[in-house]
Amino acid sequence: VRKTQATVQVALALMADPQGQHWGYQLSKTSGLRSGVLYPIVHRMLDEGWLADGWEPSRSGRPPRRYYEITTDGLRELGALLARAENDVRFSALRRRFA
Amino acid sequence: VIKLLDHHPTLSTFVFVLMAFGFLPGFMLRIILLAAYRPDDPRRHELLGELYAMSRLARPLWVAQQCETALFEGRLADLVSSALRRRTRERKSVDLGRLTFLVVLRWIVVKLGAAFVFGTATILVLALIRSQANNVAGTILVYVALTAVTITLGILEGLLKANSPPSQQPVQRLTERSRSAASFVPRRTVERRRGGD
Repeated sequence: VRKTQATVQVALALMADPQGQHWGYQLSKTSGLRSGVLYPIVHRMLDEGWLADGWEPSRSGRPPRRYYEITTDGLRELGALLARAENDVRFSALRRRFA
Repeated sequence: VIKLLDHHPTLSTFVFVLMAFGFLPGFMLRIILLAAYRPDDPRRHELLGELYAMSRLARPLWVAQQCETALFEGRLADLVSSALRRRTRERKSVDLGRLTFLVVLRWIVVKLGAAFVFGTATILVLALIRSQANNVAGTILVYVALTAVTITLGILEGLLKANSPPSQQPVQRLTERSRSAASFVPRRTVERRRGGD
C-alpha cells in the first residue's frame, strides 16, 4: 500500500476507533474521501490483510451493510504508516488530525 | 392536504421530492450496480446496504457520486479501455494510402465547412450593402466562386500535408543538435591543450 494523502486519510479514519467496526459511508465521511477513492484503498488494505470484513445481520428488511475491522497486522502497519506520515512534510496539511 | 395538492406548483414539488429522495436514488443505484459491477463483486451488495443506512437527504448526491465512480471503475471502465485499446491497434495497422485518403477527406470536410461559413457571411454582407433583388444572382456567383477557391485551396493543402512526412523536420533538427553537441569541446579543455602545446 503506497503512502499517499488518501491512504493516510483512510488510516486516520480507521485508527480513530481501532477496535470498532467501520462502514464504507462512515469511512468516507470521516476521511473526507469520495467513494471512488476510498473503496480501492480499502480493498488494497483487505488484500494486504490489514483489514477483515464481514456483513452485519440484516434488520427491518434493509439490505445488510459490509463492515471492516482492523486486524492485528493492520494495527501494526497502520500505526507505522501514521508514524511515518506524521514526520513527513507532504502530510503537513493533515497535522491537525494527527493530534 | 387536499387544498395543498390542488395547488399545482405544490403538487409538482411534492412529486419531485418523492422522486428525488424516494424512488430515484435506489432505482438509479441498482441500475448502476447492475451495469458497472460483476455479479460476484461484493460492492453490488455493499453499496446498496450503505444507501439505505444514510439519511434521505444525502442519497441523491451519493448516488450521483457512484455513477461517476462506476464510469472509471468496474465493467464500464473495462469496456471503455478495451474499446480505446482496439482503436489504437486499428490506428497502428492503418496503411499509408488509407491515411492519405482520410487526411484529404478531413481537409475537404473542414474546408467545405469554412467555405459555407465564409460564403454565407459574404452573401449576408452583400445583401446588406446592396439590398436589391437583381443583385442576388451576382451574389450567388461570388458565393460559388469563393467556395470553389476555398475548396481547391483546402484540397491542395491537404494533399501537400499528406505527402510530406511530418516527423522529418524535428528529426533533422535533432540530428543537427546532436552533431553540434558531439563536436562540442569545453573551453577549459581547449585552454589546457593550448597550454600543453
